[in-house]
Amino acid sequence: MASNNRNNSPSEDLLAATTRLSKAVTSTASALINTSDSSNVLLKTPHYQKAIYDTLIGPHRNQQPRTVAVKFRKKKAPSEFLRLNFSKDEISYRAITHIPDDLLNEIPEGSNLENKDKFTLFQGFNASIPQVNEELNLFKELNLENLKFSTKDDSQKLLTLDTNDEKSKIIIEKKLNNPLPIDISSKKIKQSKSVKNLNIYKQKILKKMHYLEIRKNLTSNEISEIDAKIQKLTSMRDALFQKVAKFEKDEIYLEGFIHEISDKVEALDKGEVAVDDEAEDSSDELIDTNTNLSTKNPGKKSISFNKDTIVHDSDNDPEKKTSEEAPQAYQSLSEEYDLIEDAEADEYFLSQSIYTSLQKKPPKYHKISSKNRKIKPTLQNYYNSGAEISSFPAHEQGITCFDFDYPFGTMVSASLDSTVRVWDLSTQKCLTLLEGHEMYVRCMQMDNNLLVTGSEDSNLKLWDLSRVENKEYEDDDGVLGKSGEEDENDSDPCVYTFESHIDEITALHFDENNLLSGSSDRTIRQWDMKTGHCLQTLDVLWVTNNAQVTSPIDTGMSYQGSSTQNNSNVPFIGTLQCYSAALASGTADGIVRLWDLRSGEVIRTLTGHTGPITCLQFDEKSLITGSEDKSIKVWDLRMGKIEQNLVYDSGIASLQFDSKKIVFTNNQSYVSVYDRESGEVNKLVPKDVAFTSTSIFARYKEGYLVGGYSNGVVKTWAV
Amino acid sequence: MTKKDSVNYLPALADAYDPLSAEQLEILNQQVISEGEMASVQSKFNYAWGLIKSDLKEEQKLGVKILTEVFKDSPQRRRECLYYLAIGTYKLGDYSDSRRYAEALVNHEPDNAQAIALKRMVEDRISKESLIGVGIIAGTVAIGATVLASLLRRRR
Repeated sequence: MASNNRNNSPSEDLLAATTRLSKAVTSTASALINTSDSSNVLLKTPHYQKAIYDTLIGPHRNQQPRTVAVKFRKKKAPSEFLRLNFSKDEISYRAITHIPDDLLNEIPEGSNLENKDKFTLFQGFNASIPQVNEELNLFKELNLENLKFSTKDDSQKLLTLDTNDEKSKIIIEKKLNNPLPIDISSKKIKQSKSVKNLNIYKQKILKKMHYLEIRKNLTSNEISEIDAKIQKLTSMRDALFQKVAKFEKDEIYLEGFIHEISDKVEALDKGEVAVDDEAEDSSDELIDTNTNLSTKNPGKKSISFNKDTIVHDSDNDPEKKTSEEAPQAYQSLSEEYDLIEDAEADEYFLSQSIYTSLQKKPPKYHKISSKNRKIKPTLQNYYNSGAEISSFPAHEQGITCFDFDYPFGTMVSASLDSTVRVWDLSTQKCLTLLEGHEMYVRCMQMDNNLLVTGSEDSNLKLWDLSRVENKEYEDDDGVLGKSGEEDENDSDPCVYTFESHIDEITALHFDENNLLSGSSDRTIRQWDMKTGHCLQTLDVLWVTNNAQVTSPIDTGMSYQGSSTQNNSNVPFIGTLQCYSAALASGTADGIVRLWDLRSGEVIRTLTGHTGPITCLQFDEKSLITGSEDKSIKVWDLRMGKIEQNLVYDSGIASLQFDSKKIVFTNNQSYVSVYDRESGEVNKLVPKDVAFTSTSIFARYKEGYLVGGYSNGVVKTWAV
Repeated sequence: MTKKDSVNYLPALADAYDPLSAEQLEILNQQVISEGEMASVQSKFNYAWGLIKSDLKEEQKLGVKILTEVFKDSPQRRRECLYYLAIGTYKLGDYSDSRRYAEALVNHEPDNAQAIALKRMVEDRISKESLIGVGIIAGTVAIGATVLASLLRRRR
């Protein structure tokens, strides 16, 4: 078809001919584009299809007045019609070389080409050619000129040959690296006595310098152009990053509603809410929430819902309710508890009396489950690994501990200044203060909206952060004024206080409904978070003494030794973690004890540390401990042996690990990330070089790491 | 290379018809290849211009392709690239493209004598060809009319 058109076109009316030609070309082009020939992938992209269209037909067909004369003059010379052929090569060539009109006019303002200070590429070309000729002469000198250069292959051979022949390669490189013109050497200049020759040398060198100046200038121009591009790209990236951040924030905000709704539906299905008038109201509201999210305020309802359930539950026998709800593991636990009851009757009655006199209600909270969370924060992935994301002064005095729910989510921090603050990590704004503890908080754990804090005042408090967050959102909407007038008790984030310990709380851990706390009164207590009851008390000292009598293992450190260290602000129970019925504790005597919570006995002790243990974590395979003795030890849980011993310059303050890395702080200005595969330590150094405070505590989740410093600053990094 | 070129900031048309040796071209090519993805604009241009100077149509086309790339990649170099593209396409016989480029350049630099000269030259070339074209068409129409007339006459 194409060839027909080509032959006929001159003999027909020109306008008709061009139109037909255009059609022919488009159909040829589309035929080409539609073939499944993989070599022509380029032609399949819409961009090039358009380019072809523009080239061959013209982008603005209908906009220009189409007289024959204009078309004739503006578009193509007749000879071009004659020499048009519609081979694939020709069409792809046309597509590639075509520059659309908008691009053609998009020429940045700048100095004119006639400007003498700026060189053109053509001048650069001319300045490069002498160098090319020098290289060629070199090859020829090295007797390589016998090769024929008529085809490309041969020419390439010429240039690959020198890599095989080491000797000639060295000569070529040596000569090429010498900036002197090829026929001049420093020797020649020194020895020459002829003024004429020397003048020639001078001229040649000046010329070469001129060429170099041109090339230097052009190359530096390229650098500045690339800089401009990078700047543009950076700002583009920033804009996109902001978009991602916004989307993510919105997603998380909306997801909060989904959880709220599904949790309520679940609760209603279980029939937990008594069907009295009040509850009816709340379920009516729930339906409203389902159908009309935008007008209703879910935070308020969450609170009213809780109130309903609180009222309802307090009518029932709390003990009975627990046994109904508690999973099987805890049923066995409560049986255990009955046994222990006798042994610790006195203490139990004491706590019971306190419990009944001060707290009539068991803790009630609205737990948001993390299992059905669909949104994954991804923002931290767009930072370079190890880049500092943010840094903000969180407290006036040193951070003692903190925890956060997800990257750029909510963080709760505690400090020596005795305040507990809730932060929005994405904006680094303090949302609220958690008030209740009389002294500073030493340890805490956060699980979605649930937070447990352990304080110097020997109490533990359970907080429901969803109440705080709701407050914040209302604040955003400007509704705070109204909700603030409501009953204070409903919006109090502190839902329960665990008080039985008689000395400061130094470590705590909870999973599901099982809370364990370690105190300087040398006991570990196990609590039921549903009821607020203390299930059992483990006396570490008693067990230790017993173990030292019965166990053949020499602990290497007497209790007296640890007692002296205890005075120097090193807690006796430095750390603990539980998993179902297993509990691991690390104490100031350098011993890791593994407990069976069902029997309340130590089933294994791990010895090896020579200083107080400050932090530990375990998973199904291994247990990792950090100690004041400046070492991190990786224990094989099955063998009970030290798998790895990592020694550093200073005492380990905190650690966290997963299968790939161990993140730890060791009283330096940086936070260390140990790669468990390569064994390399990557230090996350503060951006500000003058920052000298020491890192106390670090936690990370999903590539997002937060570090707390002794001067109250919190920093976040991407890892 | 003649010495006068280093004074000129833009090539004359004659420069485009002064081919490099195959070896020179190959070295320019190797330069681009050795720089890989990081090929500098200057290296690319050197090779492209070397190709445009060639006598072989395929090489000239490749040269124009690379030049187009440079034009798209490097906004700061667009003005001069228009000039080189105009020459390259002129040499290939794509006069309408050549004219587009030359016009765009003159629009941006109305005082650039070399650009104006180039544009005029391309326009001359096109109008010259147009005359030939009109001649051909006039001729064909005349012949067609004669044939038609003779056919009609024969029918009568």
